[in-house]
Amino acid sequence: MRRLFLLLSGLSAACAHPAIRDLSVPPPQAPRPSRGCVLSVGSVTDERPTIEREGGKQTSLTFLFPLPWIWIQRSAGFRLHSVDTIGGERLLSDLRAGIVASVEASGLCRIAGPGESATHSLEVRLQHLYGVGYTRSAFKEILFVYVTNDIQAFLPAGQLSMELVLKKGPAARPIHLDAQAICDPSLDGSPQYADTEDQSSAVVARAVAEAYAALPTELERALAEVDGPRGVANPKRFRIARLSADYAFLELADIDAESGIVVEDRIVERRGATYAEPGEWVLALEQPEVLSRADYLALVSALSGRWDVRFEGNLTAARFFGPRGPD
Amino acid sequence: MRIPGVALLSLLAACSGPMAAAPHHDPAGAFEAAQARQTGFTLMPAASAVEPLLIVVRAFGGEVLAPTGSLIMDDHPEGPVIEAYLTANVREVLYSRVTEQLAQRGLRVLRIYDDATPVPPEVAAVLDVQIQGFELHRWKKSSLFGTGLPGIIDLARVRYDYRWQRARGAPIQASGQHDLVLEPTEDALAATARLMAQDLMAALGRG
Repeated sequence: MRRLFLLLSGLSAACAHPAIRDLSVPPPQAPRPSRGCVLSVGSVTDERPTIEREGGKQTSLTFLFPLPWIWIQRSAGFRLHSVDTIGGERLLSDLRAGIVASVEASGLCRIAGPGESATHSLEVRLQHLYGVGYTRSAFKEILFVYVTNDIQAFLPAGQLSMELVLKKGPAARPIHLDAQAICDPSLDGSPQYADTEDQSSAVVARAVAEAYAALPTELERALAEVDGPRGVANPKRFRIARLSADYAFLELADIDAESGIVVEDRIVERRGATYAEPGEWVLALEQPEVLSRADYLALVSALSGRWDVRFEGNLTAARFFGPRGPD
Repeated sequence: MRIPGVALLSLLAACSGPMAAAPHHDPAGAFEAAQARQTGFTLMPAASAVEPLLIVVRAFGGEVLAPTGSLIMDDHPEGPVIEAYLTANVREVLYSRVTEQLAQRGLRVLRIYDDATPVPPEVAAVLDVQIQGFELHRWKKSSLFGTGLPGIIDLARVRYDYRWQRARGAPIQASGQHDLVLEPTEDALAATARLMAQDLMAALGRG
């Protein structure tokens, strides 16, 4: 009996849709300073439109010669791949698992165990998740003889949008995760014919991975606000940041507050929302832990005696202009 | 051979499916709309003619959903070459360009990137923009502008909702949509931002 069960399980696995990706594993990420919180993550509420849940086509069809002896038609439209090919039946539980794994990997918070009371809770609503392709065809038949069916297929794109709400007592902060990916034939499968289910689910998986990668940064910013100020002493070292021209990278420089020497300078991928224009050196929101608004203002005040740090044009992050010159 | 009248009518018949929810994917229609718009352009007043007004522009929000197509094979004499494609960081780039444009039109612009940053009391108006969609199309024409010469036309479409929260007066809430025909060397996002800024200024009574 047990052998039969194993055999059936094996056959079932072999027949599972080959395009289904595991969306429960986040990409590797650098650990963040722990904030000592215990987080409970709720189940994912599915708020996607019906067409995204069930898949479907929206195609316009034009008959140019709908006659028995000459039949010419053109059609064009997009096709959303069904949930069967994106995450499968475990989609919502896998997304929750991915969020949990992402938070755990970041080290920001410990995930609350069964029956354990949490300091913070996270509600998750799935608003969009789809892989979409676009095709156009021109079909021609003369005297019941097939002449041509010219199909143009587009490479698919993937989309994920999730709204998370971090709660601590009465305080709540929304976190919006929004990621897109476009098919890259070298990553997502054969370039010969686009709009395959396999390619579609691959781009969706990349969009999901991008959202997981951005989650710790956004979560830490929300934690800083719901936790409130922690107090900032005179810093021995502080961090400045500059966004690259393509918005993709952040240059971070740690400066010794006493000597003014740049202790460390590195370029990292940008995660989370921007907080300055490209090329602007600003006092980073991460020092290295993300500061609450009140703590950030206190840091600006503490540094402004020696350093030219001020809010100029940008009210979220203070511009950094180097050492203060003689008055 | 005589073609029956019904058949003649059916030659002209065209039936369309439900495309309302889709990005437009109608570059020809967008092209005509953009042409019509261009003929109705009015010049903006010079920056010096507008009195300085202190405003806050919040980082743009909204979901720029993945378009329903990205790349098409270039083997047709006429028609879209690239139907639509993702542009990375659309919201961020448009935010930068629009704030630049507003500043160039004589407003004093302060930027806010998150919900935690408070708005100073001296600010006259706060702008929130939600980008609803941005598409780029490349449209191949066998005869460009009736010249008989083939050419490529780049089209852009942007859709957005916005809200001006004013210190005095009721808030202004509206939507905008622009179809642009781009110059061959024109930056699509910069051109889009120019039209958006023009629209936003007009809504504020400064157009």
